[in-house]
Amino acid sequence: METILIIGAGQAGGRAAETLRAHGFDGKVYLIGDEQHRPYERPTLSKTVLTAADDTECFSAWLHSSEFYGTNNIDWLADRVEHLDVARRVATLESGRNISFDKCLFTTGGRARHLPNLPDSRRVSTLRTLADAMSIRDCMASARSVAVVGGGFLGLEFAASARARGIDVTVVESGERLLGRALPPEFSERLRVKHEQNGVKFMLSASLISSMEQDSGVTLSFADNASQHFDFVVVAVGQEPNDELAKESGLETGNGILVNAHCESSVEGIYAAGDCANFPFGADERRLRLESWQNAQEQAIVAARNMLGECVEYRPSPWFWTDQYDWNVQMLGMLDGSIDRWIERKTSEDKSLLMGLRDSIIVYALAVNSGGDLRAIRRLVEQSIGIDPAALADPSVKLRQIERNALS
Amino acid sequence: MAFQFAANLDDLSPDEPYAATINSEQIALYLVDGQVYATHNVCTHQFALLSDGYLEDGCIECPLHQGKFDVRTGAAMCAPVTTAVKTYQVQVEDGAVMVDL
Repeated sequence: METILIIGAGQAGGRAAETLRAHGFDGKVYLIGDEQHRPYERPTLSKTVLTAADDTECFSAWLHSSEFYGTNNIDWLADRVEHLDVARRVATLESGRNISFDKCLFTTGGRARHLPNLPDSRRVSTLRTLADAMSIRDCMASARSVAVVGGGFLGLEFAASARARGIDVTVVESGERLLGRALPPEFSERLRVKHEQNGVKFMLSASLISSMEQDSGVTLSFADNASQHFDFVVVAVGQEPNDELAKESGLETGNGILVNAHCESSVEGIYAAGDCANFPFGADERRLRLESWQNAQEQAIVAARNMLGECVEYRPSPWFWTDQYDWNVQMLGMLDGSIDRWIERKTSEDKSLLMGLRDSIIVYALAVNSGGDLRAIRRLVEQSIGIDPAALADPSVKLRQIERNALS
Repeated sequence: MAFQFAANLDDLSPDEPYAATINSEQIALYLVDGQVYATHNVCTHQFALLSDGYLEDGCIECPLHQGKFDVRTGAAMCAPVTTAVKTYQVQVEDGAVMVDL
């Protein structure tokens, strides 16, 4: 009987296991995860998990019911793969158990990055897992002030959640502006203003030197000799891919586990998907590792299908969302130097669609509370279909009409 | 159990969901293949109006995270939505769309 081993039981691992069964695989499926929880989605960890009134009802983003794994004959194990013998196809687990496999999928994800001068402690935490979120929730219950180190999407979502609970927030960011690589400069600015309107304080171009924890909280010291005291600190400075096991096992790595468009690694029969996978992207096949819900979802499905003999290419049009205050912000496509013109359809400060074009093709779009509009142009972005910029800029022309015209 | 007026049939178009509030209940109406369907207008995943979403092939995509519901049955069709949305019976009489609340 064929055995498929899935290393990592997060969203990608869980979705892959489900896909194997949905596509008729009736061999053995092992799903190994080092968290105590069955597969779940992470987006709510920085949002409703922190702001919900009730501890017992704050989280529900499980991929499947707890019965799902038994019912579908998926051996979900709370364990960790310590060693992978790729030649003999045997995995050795931390518990001591050995598992022989035919094919293997790495969905090991990533771990929160730490700053050397800011290690985890009772009042300093990163935010990656449900356990982290519950511990931060605990701190929030009695905190009046918090510093968020890192003004990326996770840090900003946490800031919005902390403000919703009436906690004073200071965002400490080493860059000159927020999300310097991920957002167009004008939007970066709009986002900062939105947070400031909600009472968030920003320290940009900040040089954090050290931290000191006492009973009452944490004191952060900066290069200009200033220091500030907070009840607790959340560190949100990015993620390291968990590619060490793959590297030790002889797979090619480099900012994640290198895979091809079919999600297969440098070793035949071994695949990778999700946050840990580095794949060829776009017409020029540049290497990319995406950290998004959509990537964990869709790349895992493609990998699973290919493990069963299909030949599907993973060619995503990156789509990402962030919810902060009353803003649902969605991004589609890639922000790169190829954009030669910008068109915006702005209904109000709280509802707009910004599009970046290259030769009349929309290559990037950023929607604020306009998910339906973004969806209307999605195919045009995914398939690089040229449109009429004048119509696109004309608010009296409906996007669905533009979509229809372009596709006909 | 009475049918209430929701909209004029002429107000509906095949691409665009129509939002109506009847007795403070938020309803979304959809015109699919000449038939009118009605669901509750609030996504079951997070607060968003389905009428702001994308209607195609009898499914409405929530504008927030693009979870899909079949407007005919209310069934949740794709992640991240898992809970079905409430549907209502619809009757069209003399160009008036009536919904059974």
